[in-house]
Amino acid sequence: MVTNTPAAIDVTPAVSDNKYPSTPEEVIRSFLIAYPTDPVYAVQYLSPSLVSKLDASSVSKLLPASGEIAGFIIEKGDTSAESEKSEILTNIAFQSMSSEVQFNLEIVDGRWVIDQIVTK
Amino acid sequence: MALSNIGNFISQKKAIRTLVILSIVLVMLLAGFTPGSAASFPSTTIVSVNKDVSVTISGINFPADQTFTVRMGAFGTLGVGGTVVGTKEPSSSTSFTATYNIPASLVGASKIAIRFDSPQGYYAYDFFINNPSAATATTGPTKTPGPTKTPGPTNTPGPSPTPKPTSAYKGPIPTINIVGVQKGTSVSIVTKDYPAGQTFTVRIGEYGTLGIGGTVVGTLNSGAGGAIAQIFSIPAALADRAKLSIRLDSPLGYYSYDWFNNDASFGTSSATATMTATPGATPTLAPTATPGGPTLTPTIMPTAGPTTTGPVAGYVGIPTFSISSVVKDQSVTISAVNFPPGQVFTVRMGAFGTMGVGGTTITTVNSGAGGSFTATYPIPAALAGGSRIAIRLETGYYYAYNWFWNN
Repeated sequence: MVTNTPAAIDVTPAVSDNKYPSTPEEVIRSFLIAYPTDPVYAVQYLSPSLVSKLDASSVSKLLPASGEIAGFIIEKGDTSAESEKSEILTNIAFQSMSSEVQFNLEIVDGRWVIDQIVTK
Repeated sequence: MALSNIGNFISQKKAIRTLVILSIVLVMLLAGFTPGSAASFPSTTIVSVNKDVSVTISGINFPADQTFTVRMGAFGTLGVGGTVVGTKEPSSSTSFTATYNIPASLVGASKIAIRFDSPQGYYAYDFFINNPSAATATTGPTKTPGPTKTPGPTNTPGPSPTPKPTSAYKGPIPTINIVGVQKGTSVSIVTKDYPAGQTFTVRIGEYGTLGIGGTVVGTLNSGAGGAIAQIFSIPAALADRAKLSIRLDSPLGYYSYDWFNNDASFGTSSATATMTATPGATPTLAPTATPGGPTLTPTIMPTAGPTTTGPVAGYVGIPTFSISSVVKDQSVTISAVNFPPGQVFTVRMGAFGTMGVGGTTITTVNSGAGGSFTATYPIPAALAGGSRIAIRLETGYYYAYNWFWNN
């Protein structure tokens, strides 16, 4: 449904120190800030089931493009604490392209973690 | 060594390094690794739960001289920003057992997060199943030792908690669709898979805010749940914005947000809610509906009806509309022709056979310069599930009606 080019770019870190983010959106922000430069650090935001599927190649291809992220905006989200699932649609601006990426999250041991990343 | 080979070598080394580090992280994950010295961290254990009333919790390693604020919030929030339900006062012991009441806003929630924070930076969080029989379970998700911290500059990339078997599917995620916009005036939404019996606070705010902190424009009571159509007014202060956010929150941790272009061309359908006036359009009478027909069938519209306002000078013919498309239980898109100018039509939907008379008011539409337009309207929850639905546009003088298969 969302087809417009995002007008705003959000690169503000949502969390500081070592507190784990408390919302799906903060998890996404933290992941997108960490992932381009430190994918290993960003692994903490992924679900155990997603991590178990990764290898040295796929861990660097979680997003549709590599390299620095120029910015991103969260466009749409639906979350159910009862079903322990969340879907967050983002538009990510890379250096040479932008892409819509949907993050599917679930709660594992009380924390929101990314279980699936789907490029639209 | 050729440059490309060097590049490949470096790339391979990076890949190997990444794989090694990743493997270490995986091992830590599988081993339930917890950074730091767990013995010095405050941690909690759920002792018992009185459903929708209170939870009794015990803690260890809580600094004795500190006061902790206790909060409860929706599951998944870690208790951050939750309702304050009490304090844990300083004591001579680092251990305690206390009971805290469940706030009214969380009554009915199946799982609830609880959190302890001290001004010195200590915190602990946990969650409990709001069900006494589950509170003392020894397996499953009943209790999670809340990841805790001690104050200090260390920034430890904390691995995820101990993995557990993938949970069973717990149902669909409730979502919203924006099905129509009247510039600066209103936005129509349709929910999907919404939980029953909850009151959602609806906010409209600046684009990019996810609706957080936006102006409260109403509430949506989910009733029996599922698909609910509702229209919300755009706050006057935001009426001139090109894009806006809309957000629905329930106290139990459900929320949806989306954004929309603040003009009449925005909506689910590519032709949604577009008022394209064609003054010179020729009235067209579509074929009569064939009850039982398997597809959307354009139908004839009647001429002017009972008068409460007068006819429009210079206007001739009759307003008609056909059904362009239907999204089952969610919305219907119509294509209208030869509508009189400057008239406000009330859009209604009702049971098949009623011609829409006395049906649920969906919205109003101003015919502007008159002529042709297409628009999409949400199907009200009360009619969801029906196989055929009547739709009616009326001013009191002019009216047109039709029906459609709800599939």
